[in-house]
Amino acid sequence: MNDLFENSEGKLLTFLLGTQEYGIKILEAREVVGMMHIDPVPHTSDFMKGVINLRGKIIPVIDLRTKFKMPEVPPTNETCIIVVDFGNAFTGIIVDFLIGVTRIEEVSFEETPQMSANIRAEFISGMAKLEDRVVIVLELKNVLSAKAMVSIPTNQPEIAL
Amino acid sequence: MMDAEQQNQIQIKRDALNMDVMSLRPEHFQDLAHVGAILTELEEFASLMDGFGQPQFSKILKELGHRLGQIVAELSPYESGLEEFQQIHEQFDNALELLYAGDQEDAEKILIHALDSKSTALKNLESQDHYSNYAEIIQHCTEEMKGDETLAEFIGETEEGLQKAEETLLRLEEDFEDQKAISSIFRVFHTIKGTAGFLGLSELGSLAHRTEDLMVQVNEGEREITLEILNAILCATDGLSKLISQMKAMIAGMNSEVQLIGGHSLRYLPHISEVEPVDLREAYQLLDHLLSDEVSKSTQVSENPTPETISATPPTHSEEQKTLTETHPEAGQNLTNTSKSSTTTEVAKTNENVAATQVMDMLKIPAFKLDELSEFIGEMVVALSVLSQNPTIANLEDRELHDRLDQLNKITEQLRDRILSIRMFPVKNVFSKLTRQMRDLSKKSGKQVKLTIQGDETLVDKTIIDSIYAPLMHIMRNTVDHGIETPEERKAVGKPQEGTVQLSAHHLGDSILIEVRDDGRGLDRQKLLSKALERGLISERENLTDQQIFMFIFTSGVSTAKEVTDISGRGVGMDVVKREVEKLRGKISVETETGKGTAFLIKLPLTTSIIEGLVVRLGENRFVIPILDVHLTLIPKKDQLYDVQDRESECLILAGEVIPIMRLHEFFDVEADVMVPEEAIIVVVKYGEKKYGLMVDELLHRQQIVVKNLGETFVNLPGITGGTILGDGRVGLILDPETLIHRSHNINMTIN
Repeated sequence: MNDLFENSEGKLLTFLLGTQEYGIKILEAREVVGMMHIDPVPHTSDFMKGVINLRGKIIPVIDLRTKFKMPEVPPTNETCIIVVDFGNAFTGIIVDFLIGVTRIEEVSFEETPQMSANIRAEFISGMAKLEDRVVIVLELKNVLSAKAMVSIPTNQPEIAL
Repeated sequence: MMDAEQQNQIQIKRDALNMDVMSLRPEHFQDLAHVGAILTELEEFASLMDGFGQPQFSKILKELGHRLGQIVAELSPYESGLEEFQQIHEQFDNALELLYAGDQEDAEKILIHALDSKSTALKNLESQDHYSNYAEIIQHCTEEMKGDETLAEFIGETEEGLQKAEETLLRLEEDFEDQKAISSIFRVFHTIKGTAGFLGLSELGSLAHRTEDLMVQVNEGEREITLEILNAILCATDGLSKLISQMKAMIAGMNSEVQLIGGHSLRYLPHISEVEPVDLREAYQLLDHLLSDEVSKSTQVSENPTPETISATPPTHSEEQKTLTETHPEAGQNLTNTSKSSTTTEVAKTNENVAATQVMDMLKIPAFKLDELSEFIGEMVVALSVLSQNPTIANLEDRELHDRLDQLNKITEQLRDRILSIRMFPVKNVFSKLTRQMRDLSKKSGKQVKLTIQGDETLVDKTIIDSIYAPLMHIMRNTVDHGIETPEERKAVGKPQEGTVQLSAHHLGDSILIEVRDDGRGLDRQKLLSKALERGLISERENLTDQQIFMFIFTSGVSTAKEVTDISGRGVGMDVVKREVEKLRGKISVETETGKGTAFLIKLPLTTSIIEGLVVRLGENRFVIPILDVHLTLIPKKDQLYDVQDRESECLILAGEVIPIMRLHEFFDVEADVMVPEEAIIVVVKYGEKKYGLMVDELLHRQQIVVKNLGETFVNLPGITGGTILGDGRVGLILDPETLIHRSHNINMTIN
């Protein structure tokens, strides 16, 4: 978590999923775009919504709600896509509502607290307590791990034709 | 004569050293503390011997320490380095025995012999710098050259120069009298020597210098060119190339974890495991042998260098033309003939003229700038087609507007073609490297093989040039090793003793076809079949065509070589070749006839970034099928469709051929408008000899598309090879018929 306080100076980009506020390190965020048409990609997990054309670049978009097993909701005017830059690859994440940049103090940050069973602990790097609210800081690396995204059907072994 | 006390002291050290050397194993080199202890011992022993007035003994102990250090630093290979180390140690031990016996003279003789022995042992003492001086290179990389373009430039120039030298050497092999070639080679090494000296890269410089020395003699007519000389120079060229690629690797992986080994006088050394030490000894030996070998010099040693061979001839008109043709091979083809005929009369030219002209005509541009340019132009083409397809614009009845748009379209297309052509280079670059390899291969295998080359002026994209060498090399290796028979076998079946391998390239519509054709024994159908059975790739009953069986050669683990040689035969390789070719969006196939020969055919797109695609709709989804893969499209008639087992309309009969139908919506698990083939449109795609019918809802249009990578997230997505931005700005996925077919469920077909 040194990264958060050294490089990002404790700055988070926070957003809502349902009523809960989540945050990602500011340095991981590239830009925010409004909801746009997403072209589905077959053989991918349910949270992988597909790909968008971001000024000529094709980038995958995932739905955090589905990823976190929250019920799906139709997009509203507030729904937006945060483009994150992760390991040289851009990925879009769909969130319900963008709040903005929040700065947190190291003392108010608590690393990976105990979670109830319905949320996966590896997605969370910690919780930040602010005056009036609590922000869940995401561990994007685990949320976006490429392995989980493609669901290739198991067929018989390949044979050369 | 030494006293008992001295002998006792020596004996203690000797015993300790003997123990250590005897127990030294390659794996000990991982343990720096262990080696460090031996190094300390050697150093103490050396100063002890110095103290007893035995400088020779001290010297050899230091040498032992030096050697050990080299092994630790991965400058010498473990096995042979250790062996040599032990040999020297044995000599030392023998000498010590003699010293005990009071035979100082003989003892020193042994030591001197050990130190001087040219062949194995201590050639290294004088040539320690010849054995790949890493520290030097690294020192430069880290201290001065980080971010310095001089080094990068030097590397680029030297690579270019060496490749040119290699090509020229091979030409010289055909014609020893080619004075122009000789002076061109001379100049390459001269330049390398000079620049290396300037940059302080003494390792490179000294090898180049030695080579230059030899070339001076040839250039000045002091000696005749011989095969031996050519070999020595080729060997030196190899050595220099290796050093250069090592430098590149080091600059690339500058993660110099600096290790100080055992606190000893070893230099700071980087730990770069991928880099193998370069052994320059063979090159030096060949060169030194020739340079010291006065006998082989031609008898008429001229006192003065013949002035006309090196005097500068002013650049002639034809020379300029020649340079022009070299720089613009595609533009100057018709010039070549005239310039050739007029240059024949001129004996020798200095390359300064050539170099000067080239500097004026050529610009060196970092490759990424071109890549950016081609990406932008791709975007522009797409953006323009989005604009043209815009309904508001399309419905406007403004004639002038449409004319202007058409014009803009045309200009953009021309611009794109021009930009793409900048990236095009003749395959010659690759072919000439292969020529060189072929020479070595045929020597190594003991077979006589002649390589003929056709169409090496064919232009292809730089990406292809960069990636096609390795696969071609692999095919060549296989060809020489398995395809071509031994001279005896060839004689027995009435073929000429010398085998022929034909390497050719030519354009075929929108693609380029590269062929490697040999006149060897051909593929063994039966053996491939039994290997495939053995590996469970097919079942006994399957009825396969010859072509299908021969394609097994591209399957991992199937090698028909009876025994594994150091050239090939491990059964890995041809599958890698196939993968590499496919990465370039190419196809590979094989034709073979028993006893007559085999041909590998590689079909590659002219450029890898823009392809012609057919855009199809499947429900909400749009897919692009590369035109190259499309055989035809049709709306099937009822009587063309046949049921298979309990499934209706499983295949299509087209001109007597059974074509399985693939329901794309099922494969991709997406919603489609049309669920039955009778109402759908079928796109018949071809993969190798097989045809498949893909069921789609609608054909939208045909368009040029910029192929984009879908990124790490979607690697190995079955059936899909990439994405593109379509005319309306949305994303279309590019279908990959090959993985589609492989993954499809219908493999065994029987008609009800």
